[in-house]
Amino acid sequence: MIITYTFTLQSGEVHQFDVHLERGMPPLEPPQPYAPWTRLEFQQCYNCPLKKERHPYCPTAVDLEQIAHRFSSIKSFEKACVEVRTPDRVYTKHCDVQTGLRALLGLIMATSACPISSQLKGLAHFHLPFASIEETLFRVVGAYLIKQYFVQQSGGTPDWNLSGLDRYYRDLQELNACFKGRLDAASDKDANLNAICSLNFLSIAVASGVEDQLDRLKPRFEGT
Amino acid sequence: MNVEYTFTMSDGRSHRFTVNVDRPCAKADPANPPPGWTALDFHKCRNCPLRPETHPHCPVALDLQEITARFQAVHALDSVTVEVRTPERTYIKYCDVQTGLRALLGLVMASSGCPITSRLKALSYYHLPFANAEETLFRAVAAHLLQQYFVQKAGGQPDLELKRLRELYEDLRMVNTDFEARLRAANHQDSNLAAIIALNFLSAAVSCSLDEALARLRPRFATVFESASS
Repeated sequence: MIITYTFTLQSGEVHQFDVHLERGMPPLEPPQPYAPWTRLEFQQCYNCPLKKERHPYCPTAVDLEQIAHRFSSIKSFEKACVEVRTPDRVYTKHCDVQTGLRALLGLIMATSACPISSQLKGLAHFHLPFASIEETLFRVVGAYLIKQYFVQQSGGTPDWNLSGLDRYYRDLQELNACFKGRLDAASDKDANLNAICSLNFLSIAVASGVEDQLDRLKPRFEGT
Repeated sequence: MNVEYTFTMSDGRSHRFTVNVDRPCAKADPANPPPGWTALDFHKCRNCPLRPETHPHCPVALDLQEITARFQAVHALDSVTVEVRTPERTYIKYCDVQTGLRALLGLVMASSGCPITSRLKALSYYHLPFANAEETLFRAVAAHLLQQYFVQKAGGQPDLELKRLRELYEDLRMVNTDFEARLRAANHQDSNLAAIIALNFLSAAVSCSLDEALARLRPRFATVFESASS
């Protein structure tokens, strides 16, 4: 499945990005060498399980390098019409570039080969661009609970208390902070990165304590 | 929360409907009596728990009056651009009238006063127009399990085996068939329903049993939250 993001700026300039959900690991021997800041051990995330012998490059960094230069000349607060095309429908929003970019980067991270963020890959098939915190919680917690149902069906021990999800969120937060460090360090040498390194792109990871957050959703599910 | 549907026909005419997800149960206006096909007892769904003494009219039928009236001269297979506006974003699809109506009716039913379809009400806050079968299943099971999570937290007995969701699916299947029979019968009295009688409006949700649908969804979840679930 391919999801296409199209940014139309007020100047009429158009930028289009295709995200292949099944793209897997980036090739080890690319036609053009990857930038030095994409090397795995350049500001590697503390909780990254990859080894540089087998994975010399951070798969997410390689994915982002491809789009970073396209955004290097765009100001993140510029207004844009962002259109997201999937097989079933088109989503549009008039917003600033940053909001659109955040949706795009969230999708790229979830479908990249990063062993941590790609655990959300099953959710990419239910990608919802420009999701509010409440919508993200519904999808992520809902998906986690569905997973527990399947665990239970296959005779495993389901985690109905969401304690595993809390751990996973902590991993994502760690990754969010470390990856931002990688981009910050890289942007000293590479101005292309300025637009994307200002983003807190894994917005899903910002939420602290799933349980507290879920209180927001509770009224929706009472009395039904 | 309001969700606004705009149908723009190929000749440029457009129809706009605003669905207030939090509206109260529809009641007939005594000054302007609704058509006969909206009476509760007119082809009442076999599993309907409402009584004519307290609910003389079917709340979904009342909700649909305006829509059926506006689509009087429209054919189900006409091409249309459907735009759905929610607070967070706009959804667009180029499709036939029937596909757009199915999305709209799904939302109207889930947020209506019908005691059966309104069990999906939580989903109307996360309305996804033109949802395919997999998307509908994902949302329905997610909503059900979230509700069970809250039941468990409050010290109640959660339904983690999806028993009640299976029952709801069976109920929805009956409503789907019987409500369509109501519209079909109404069509003899009121020809404006021609465009929507062919709708199998809950079809994406209930075309097969919940367990068959879940078996198809399962592979998506093979690697989701892998480290968290071990």
